[in-house]
Amino acid sequence: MTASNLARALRAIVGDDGVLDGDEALLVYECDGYVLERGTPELVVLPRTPEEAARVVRLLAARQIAFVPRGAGTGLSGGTLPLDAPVMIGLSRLKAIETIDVRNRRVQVQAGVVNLNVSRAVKDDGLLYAPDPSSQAACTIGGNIAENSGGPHTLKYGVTVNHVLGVEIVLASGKVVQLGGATEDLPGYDLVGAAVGSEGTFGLITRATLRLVRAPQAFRTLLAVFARVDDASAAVSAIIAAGLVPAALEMMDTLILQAVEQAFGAGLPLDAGAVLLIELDGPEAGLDDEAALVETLCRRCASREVRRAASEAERALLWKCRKRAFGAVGRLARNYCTQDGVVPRTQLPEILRRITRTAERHRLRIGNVFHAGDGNIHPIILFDERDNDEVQRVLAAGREILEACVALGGSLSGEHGIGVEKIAQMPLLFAPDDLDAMLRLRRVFDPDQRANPHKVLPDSKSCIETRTPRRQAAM
Amino acid sequence: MAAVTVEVEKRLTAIVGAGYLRHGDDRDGVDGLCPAWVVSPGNAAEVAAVLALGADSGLAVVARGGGAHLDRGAPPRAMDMVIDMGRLHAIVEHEPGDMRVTVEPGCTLGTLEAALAPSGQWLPLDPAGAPDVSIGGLIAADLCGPLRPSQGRVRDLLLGLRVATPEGRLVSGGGKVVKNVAGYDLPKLHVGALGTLGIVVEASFRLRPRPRSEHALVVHTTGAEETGRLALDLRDCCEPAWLEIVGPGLDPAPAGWALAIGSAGHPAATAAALAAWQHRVRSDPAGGEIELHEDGGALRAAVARAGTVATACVLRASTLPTQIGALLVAIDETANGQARLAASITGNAHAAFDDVAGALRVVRTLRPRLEGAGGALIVERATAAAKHVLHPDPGIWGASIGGLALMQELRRMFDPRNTLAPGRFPGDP
Ligand SMILES: Cc1cc2nc3c(=O)[nH]c(=O)nc-3n(C[C@H](O)[C@H](O)[C@H](O)COP(=O)(O)OP(=O)(O)OC[C@H]3O[C@@H](n4cnc5c(N)ncnc54)[C@H](O)[C@@H]3O)c2cc1C
Repeated sequence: MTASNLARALRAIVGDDGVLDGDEALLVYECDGYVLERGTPELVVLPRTPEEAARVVRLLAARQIAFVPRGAGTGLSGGTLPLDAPVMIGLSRLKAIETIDVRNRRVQVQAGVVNLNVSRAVKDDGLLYAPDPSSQAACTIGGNIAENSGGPHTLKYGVTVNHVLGVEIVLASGKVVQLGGATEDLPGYDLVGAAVGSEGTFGLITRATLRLVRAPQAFRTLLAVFARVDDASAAVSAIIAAGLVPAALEMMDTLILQAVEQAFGAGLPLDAGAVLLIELDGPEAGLDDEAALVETLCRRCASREVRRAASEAERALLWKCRKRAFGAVGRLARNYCTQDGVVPRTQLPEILRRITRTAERHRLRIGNVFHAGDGNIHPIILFDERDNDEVQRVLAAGREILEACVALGGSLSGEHGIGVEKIAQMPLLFAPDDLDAMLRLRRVFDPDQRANPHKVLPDSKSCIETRTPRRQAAM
Repeated sequence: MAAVTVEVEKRLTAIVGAGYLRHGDDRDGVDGLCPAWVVSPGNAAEVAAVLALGADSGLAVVARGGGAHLDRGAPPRAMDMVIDMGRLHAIVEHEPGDMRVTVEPGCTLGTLEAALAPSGQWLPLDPAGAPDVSIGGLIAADLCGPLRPSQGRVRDLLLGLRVATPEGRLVSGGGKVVKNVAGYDLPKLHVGALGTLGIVVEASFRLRPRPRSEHALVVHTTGAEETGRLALDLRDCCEPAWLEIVGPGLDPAPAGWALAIGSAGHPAATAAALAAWQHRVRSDPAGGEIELHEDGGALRAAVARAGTVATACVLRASTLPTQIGALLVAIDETANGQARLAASITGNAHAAFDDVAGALRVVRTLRPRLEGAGGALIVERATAAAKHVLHPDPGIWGASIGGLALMQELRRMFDPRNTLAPGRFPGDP
């Protein structure tokens, strides 16, 4: 079947404006937030409903055509890069919030609903959807589920998988399955838990049932200023050791402070080595006490100043600085690459020292803005994509940092996923038998590997026995 | 003795040593079956070798932790060998600064709790009879207790697993850090799998700080329906750490219906919560006498057992939180008041029966209704005799399980010869 033939068949399902195939129209889809590799699909299909999405997949299944799902394209590991997948299925038009059940604290949404819109829809009922990736004004629930996304407040509230009760998935075979649902404790294996974080390789997620939580009654938001990164790390440990569970515990270093201050003028200290943004939330009673304890602990770790947000506006400004930090970095360099790794919390000082050494060795500027309470680092490497030598050094530095995370007992990714970016490093973390078990799981859902092929699991023959071809470079 | 049997015994002895292999007897029965052998491997590699030998010899193998939850699931079709995990009971690593612990499956929650206490940390899973529950049983049976609404379940606290497979491999998934999305989340598959996808040999959990104080109330109420409604009102008034509804005949409210609600954390916050709930109860027509419990933890442990002890069987029903009152009424009526009932605010009810006939009636009558509304009604545990009455018709698990075909395929992928407790899990041949 020719490409135009396929386009015609797809248009019959999704309407004329639902299929993009011109070079110009496809340009937006050549990469997601991971910009170091690019490649366009032959077609982008934009179904309007979950049912249309299922018909699209059935059509592709009948013709054995592989596809790559895409939400908002904010992913940071190249998960939407089409590799041997001629068709991209964009879920951005599936944006209905189908049911809101306030008393049961459940919401059923379509996959293309933007994360923040869920919380907005239930705000007046005093509820919220807890996982809050910094990209939440743009990223979709489908993308969040595919990546098992986190965010600043996941320290206390947990990540996406802790809040997803059910998913509807269109398997690559075209079959629609309902896993889990609004009721907890359904019998059988936890396939919902396995599907969350599967990066589009189990099929197309079209609907989800999410758990809502009660919005906190009160907040205390503090900004602790430190001369040295090491002292800020020590304060993180001290807060955790004291038995406190802050809602968020975020670190920003000098470079990030400069970028953020330039962008938002929030009065952040430009000469600080690091600041911690610490939020406590919950019922009003006892909160001042805990905030005072946090302040004492920070001062004991040589914090030279601890500020408190005095109003909701001040709190919002601090969070704007944190959540838009990645974007603000754009002012400092033509390009930047956000890394994502995890270390045991006790290894934070060590990994930060290693990042500094890596930056020096590769003559790169690296800023750090990250979920310190979780040990989830985000070094942001600045570069200029026109300088090929520098691009190579960025890639090398990224690899080095991840290797250090693994060596310190951590992980290759805390929330951005493996995608194409980290696929080559998977064997650092997992033995061949571990990867083989993952491959079997993948085949349960997608025996022919037509859903987002060549992602997550390395498929070069050196790693594990498999019949799939090597991933093709798409640069 | 058949030649093959002699050969298997010889090879098992070679793996674990003569002192750790014996013939099964009355103590080892599961659902009326008695294993030919009980093997007690001493480390992960031995577990894998024993399991592989079982699989290669075409045996049916059941893993045993504390042995307290082997009455769950459908009766296995066969059981030639029990692998007893009791010798793997070490606390491998506790790093307080990382709030993480790595333990072996034979360790009990009680031992773990004692080891964690000095650091002010805990693993906040509090199933019925918690101190004696083994970690392996906790994972395999997906056990949790009253703390679940605030602290989560096994799936929310488990960070990583090491599992022995029927092919004799040791497979790891997840990791030891609190946030991790590298690769698929294999550990989740083993939670509640009743040992059908592999045998857990090591598990890592995230820990939480033990709350500074825990106080609770018991509120006596007028009936199940009103209790369900009041429970949600109290939750909405001030978020509890736990909230359970307990029916007549059970501690802590032997005379009638009651709810038990607990707050944990900063003393000022728990005091404020208790005050708010008391105020709310007094203005509610369903609210009766209120008892204050200074030792909230002790009350919680008592409440955890409610509805889980029976001489015939225990049913577990799942519905939405708003339906819990109506569900309890329906079970009570269908069982002619013969079931001891308890439920969590999450929408899960337990019904304990000393007479299987009542349970059978409840399953037949209420299961279709619950399943039709997206819920479930399963036989959580039962004696061999009761299972005989309840299974295969109407069955332990129920009829409508989303993704059943995928589950069957998963089972084939991970346990190709159906070695592990064949017949026990939904969709098993
Ligand atoms: C500025 C910025 C800040 C960020 N901050 C955070 C953060 O704090 N925490 C965090 O975890 N992440 C963060 N991210 C990463 C990213 O936003 C998340 O991974 C997000 O969940 C991706 O959602 P998306 O809709 O953009 O998905 P996409 O980028 O479109 O897709 C991501 C992956 O999911 C798959 N996918 C998408 N939709 C579906 C579907 N319906 N069914 C099946 N597979 C699907 C795709 O194939 C791809 O593999 C940030 C990104 C940016 C650019």
